Amino acid sequence: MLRCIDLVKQFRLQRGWSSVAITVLNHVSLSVGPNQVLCIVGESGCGKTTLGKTLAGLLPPTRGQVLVDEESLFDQRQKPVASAALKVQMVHQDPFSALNPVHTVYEELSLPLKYHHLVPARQITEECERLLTLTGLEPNAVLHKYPHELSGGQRQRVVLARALAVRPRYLIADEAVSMVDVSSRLIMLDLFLSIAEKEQIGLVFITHDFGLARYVAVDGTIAVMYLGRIVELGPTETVIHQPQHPYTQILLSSIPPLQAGEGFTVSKLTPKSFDVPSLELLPPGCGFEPRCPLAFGPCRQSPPSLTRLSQDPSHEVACYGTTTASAAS
Amino acid sequence: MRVVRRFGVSLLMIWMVMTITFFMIRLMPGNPIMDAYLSLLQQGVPSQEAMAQIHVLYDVYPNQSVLTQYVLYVWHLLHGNFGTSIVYAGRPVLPLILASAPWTLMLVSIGITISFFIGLFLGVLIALNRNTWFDNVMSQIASIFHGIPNYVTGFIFLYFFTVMLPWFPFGNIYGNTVTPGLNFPFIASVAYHSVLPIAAYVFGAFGTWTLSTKSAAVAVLGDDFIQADKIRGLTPGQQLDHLIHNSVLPLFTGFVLSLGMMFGGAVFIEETFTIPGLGYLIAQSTSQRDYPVMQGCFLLLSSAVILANFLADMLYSRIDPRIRV
Amino acid sequence: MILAASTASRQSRSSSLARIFLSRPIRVIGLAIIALYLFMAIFGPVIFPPSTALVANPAKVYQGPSWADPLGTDFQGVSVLAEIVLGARGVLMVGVGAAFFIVVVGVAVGLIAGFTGGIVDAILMRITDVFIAIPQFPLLLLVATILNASSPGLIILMLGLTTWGGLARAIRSQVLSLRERDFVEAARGLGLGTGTIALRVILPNMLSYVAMNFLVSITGAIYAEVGLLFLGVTPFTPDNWGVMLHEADSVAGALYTRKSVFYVISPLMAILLLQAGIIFILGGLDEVFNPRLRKTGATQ
Repeated sequence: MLRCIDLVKQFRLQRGWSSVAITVLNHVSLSVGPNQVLCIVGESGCGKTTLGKTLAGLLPPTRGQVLVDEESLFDQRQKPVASAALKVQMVHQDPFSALNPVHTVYEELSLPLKYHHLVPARQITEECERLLTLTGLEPNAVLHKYPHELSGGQRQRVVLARALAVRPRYLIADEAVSMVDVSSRLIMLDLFLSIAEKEQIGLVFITHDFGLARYVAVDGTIAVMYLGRIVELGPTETVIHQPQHPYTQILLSSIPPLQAGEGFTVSKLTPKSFDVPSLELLPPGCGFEPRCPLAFGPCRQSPPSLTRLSQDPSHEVACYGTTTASAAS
Repeated sequence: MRVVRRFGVSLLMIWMVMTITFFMIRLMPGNPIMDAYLSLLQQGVPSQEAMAQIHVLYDVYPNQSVLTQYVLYVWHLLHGNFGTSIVYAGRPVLPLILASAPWTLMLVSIGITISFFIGLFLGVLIALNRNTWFDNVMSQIASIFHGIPNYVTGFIFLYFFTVMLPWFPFGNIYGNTVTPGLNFPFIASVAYHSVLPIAAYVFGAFGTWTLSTKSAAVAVLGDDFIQADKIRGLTPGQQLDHLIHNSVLPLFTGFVLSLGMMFGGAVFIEETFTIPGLGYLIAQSTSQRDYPVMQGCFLLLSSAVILANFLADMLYSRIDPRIRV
Repeated sequence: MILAASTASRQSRSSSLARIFLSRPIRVIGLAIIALYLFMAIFGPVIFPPSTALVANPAKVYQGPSWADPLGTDFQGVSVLAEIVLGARGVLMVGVGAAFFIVVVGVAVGLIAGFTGGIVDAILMRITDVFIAIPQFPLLLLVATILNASSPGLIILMLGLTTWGGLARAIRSQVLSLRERDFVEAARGLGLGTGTIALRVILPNMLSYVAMNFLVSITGAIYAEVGLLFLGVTPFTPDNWGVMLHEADSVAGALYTRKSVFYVISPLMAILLLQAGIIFILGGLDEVFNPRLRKTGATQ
């Protein structure tokens, strides 16, 4: 199980003489088990990439913990613990900048294998070929090529193969198909899913696209993020068909339906404003309150916490409107 | 606020140069002060008197601790006391330097300015005709001239235009028939004597300017606003004006940094053409091991370059609105 | 299996190396020039044994070119060609040695400063700033005079110590920008150590820059060395282009006669030609170390 508990991540911004702290992750707790899929959905700037990097051990949290199979990912000095960090690998969004431009595919894959002595020296080429085959590439065609000689899809597969080289238990995929040609996105998604299933890997999929999230996490969990907080968390189909948070509802209603009458439209909410508040000047209450058409008194006092719905304990929402309404009903 | 910080850093650097120089001369093998002292002793000079002589020359007593010597050294420098020359017996170093500096400043600044404008012209021309034969040939030529030491250009000019073709005078910065002062024969003589040294500076430096102008101009040419100028129907002259304005900016820091390089070149050019400037003073004091003069020249040059860098930095942030904080 | 793969890649690499350098006439010329200098440096004393070639001959002072002395003779009647050829070894040795020193120190300081950051970075960069700001040649003069250096090793050390600053700062700023790239983050995620990331992940990206700096530093060091000898600062070695210039300038009276033209111009041309040779191959070097610039033939 990959878990994070009460994660807080703050960055300091220099402003002339003084510096201000902005909170990018605000008390985030999530978990994903082996062979499970967790999808984190949110707009750009909501902190989802920071969350992914923290889960992958690339960015130490300001407060809170990340546990990989109950082993802490960061030690006392906030340095990643190697044994735990290797179990979580990240697949970056841009497959061009994620590959070293002066390394061939072979050099790229063999480096971690040699460094960690994962396979005997004479089997390194064999292992590289196995990894490439696993990700659907023809080893002979790509092994000695440089990244600039590969297509976007091929590059993304090499990035995936490199992550798999250290036999991770969990994969963090950050917008992993957004730079792949639209026509091959679905194939890439299926590849992620089938590898996760075959190798019993837990998958954390980060995206801004609800449609994609639904496809990937069909039997899994969706977490909706807004301004550094998880505002809604629940099984995929529940979140999509009974969204509780106004933000989730607006996100879902903004998906254009393929046919009239289709789509996820649950309610016709329109945000009061399209401006996301600055992280430097967060509202005192709920982060969504300035834009929320349903905001009322308590929303301006303090941020709501993620609360289980009484009618469905698997579904959690951080909204005064829904929690008071469901408590009243 | 940035001004104060940068100025502090500049002062710190000058102090480091002072310190490095001190320890280099005192602590390296072949310490000239101890050498001089010991050789005086060997000549049979009594140690008291030898020490007094050393004190006159170097302002230190050889038997003082290094720390005391260092403190005295800094104290004297802060009072403009750079010691006395060994070769020009007993003359203080600072006036010696100040007397020769104007010639160097004149030649270097004219040389830099001319080479800068030639480089600017060629660089823009290459950028406008990039990937043509003109670009290929000119870029290679500029690359070869970039980094050519001044003694090569200086020597070639000297030999060809004073020996092979005796068109120009050889030696000194004015002829021995004119009286220095604000009179026409003197100025004309100086101008006549300056042609070759300035040409040597220009040929040694224009390649560097050409290359950096070219890369700056090529980068600017790719920018959207230049493309937009064409679409907006601006005349070629207006487009060129836009282009040059935006390419010159990045060259500015290089311009100031090149001052240090040019003073290095001055050593060769003034030695070659026997011009009584700072470079000649350095070359002469070097070959005669006149340490106080060498050290004084070196400290003043370094401080001048460091301060020039500081000023350039400040000016640059005024000119370029993007760096203004 | 692995052996086969690595030899295959090595073969393709050496063949592409040849393609890169032979594809353009200017690079062929550059290579030929450099080969000529290497030849002079290695076999010079065989062609012109110093014991016979450098003997003064008062009957032949300042003669023009002839079959026996293709570049004429100097003020002592010694063949100028012999002096140029014999001077190559010392000059190249110091140039290459100093360039090597500059590259090793510059890359090491730049990598360490860029990677460790914090106080180490601040201290290293202040020191680097001082070395960049000090006018290099006057500093070199001061050091050379104090050390009175005559051994090549000491001259190399001197040239290296006064010149590494620029490269160190450039390498540091490249490290700072490269370490923000995703592939470096991925390398950290893969649990690779800092040393491995610095040397195996980041350094290969800077190799073309480093190699170019190496070549340019060679010419720079040669200029400085010849310049020091020209000013008569470092003690004389008998056969060196700088010594030739120094003697032409101040000893031989070469500046009072037109007959000395080959004697005066030859060492200058020797320096310029080497510079040209190095400039001509620089473009090829970029392609060698930067796979993106390579035109890969039938691979795709």
